Amino acid sequence: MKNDRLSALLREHDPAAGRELAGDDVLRIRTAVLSSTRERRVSYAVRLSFATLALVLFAGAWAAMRTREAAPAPQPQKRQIHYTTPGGTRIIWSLDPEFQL
Amino acid sequence: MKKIAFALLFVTTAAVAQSTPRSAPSPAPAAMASPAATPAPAASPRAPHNVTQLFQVVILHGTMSGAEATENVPKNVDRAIADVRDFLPFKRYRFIDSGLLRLATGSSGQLTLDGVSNTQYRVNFGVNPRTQSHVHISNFTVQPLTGNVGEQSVGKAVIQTSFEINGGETVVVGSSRLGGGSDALIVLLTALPGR
Repeated sequence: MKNDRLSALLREHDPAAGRELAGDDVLRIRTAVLSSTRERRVSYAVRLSFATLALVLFAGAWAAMRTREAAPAPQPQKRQIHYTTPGGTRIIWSLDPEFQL
Repeated sequence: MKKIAFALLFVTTAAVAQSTPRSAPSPAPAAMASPAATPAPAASPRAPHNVTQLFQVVILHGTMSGAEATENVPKNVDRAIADVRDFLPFKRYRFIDSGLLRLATGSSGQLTLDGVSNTQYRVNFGVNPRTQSHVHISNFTVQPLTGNVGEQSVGKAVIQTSFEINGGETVVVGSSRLGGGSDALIVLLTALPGR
C-alpha cells in the first residue's frame, strides 16, 4: 500500500511529466549508450583473446607431455657392487636390467 | 661323490687342454668400474711362476619365494652362504652344479656347468700371479650356452668381473635383475688351499 501511494505521489510531482527530451539530450544519451556497448564489445574481444591464448598454451603443454612420454626412457645401466660381509666373505654383485635366468 | 670325482677328472683335463698361456694379461672390460677391474699389472719379481691353483666353482640358484633353505650346498662353502644370507634378500639357495678347474698362473680356462631351467653356463676366467698367498682372477665371465649340444653358442655374459682371491677364500659372484628380481644366479669361486 505504501509503495502504491509513494508511486502515485512521485508521478503527481514529476517535473518531467508531459515533457519531451531535447534533440541534443537524445543525441547525448544515444552516444553514451553506444559507446558503452562498444567498450563491452572490446572487453569481450580481450576475453576471447585470453581464452584462445590459454587454450593454445594448454594444448602446447599437453603435446609436449605426450612427446616426452612417447620418447624412450633412458635405459638403466648395469651396475656392479663389491662389498665384504662382517664374516669376511667378499661379494661381487651385478644388477642387470636385462638379467634373466 | 662320483659326480664330483668325474667332474674333477673331466674339468682338469679340459682345463689343461684349454689353458692358454698369455704373454700379457688382457685388460678388464670398460664397464667394470671397480678397482679390481683394472688391468692386471705385471707380476712382481717375487710372484710365483708356473704354479698351479685348483679352483672350485659352485653354481647356486637364489630365489625369494618359499621357506628359507640351503639345499645340497657343498660343506666347504657353508660359511660363505651363511654370510651371504645376511646381505642378500633371497630365502632359498639351491645347488645347481659344481666343478673343479686347475689353472697355472698366467693362463685361463673354462668350465661348462649346468644352470637353471636346463640352461648350461660357461664359466671362464684367467689367473694372474700376485703373491704367494693370493692371485688375481681376470675376466671372470659367466655366459649361458644356447643351442643343441655340438652346435652351442655363448650368449651375453650375465656375470663379468675381475677380483683378487686368497688361497682358501670363497668369493661370491652373483647377478640379479636391477630393481629387485626374485631370482639370482650365484657363483661361488673358491681357491682351494694348498692344492
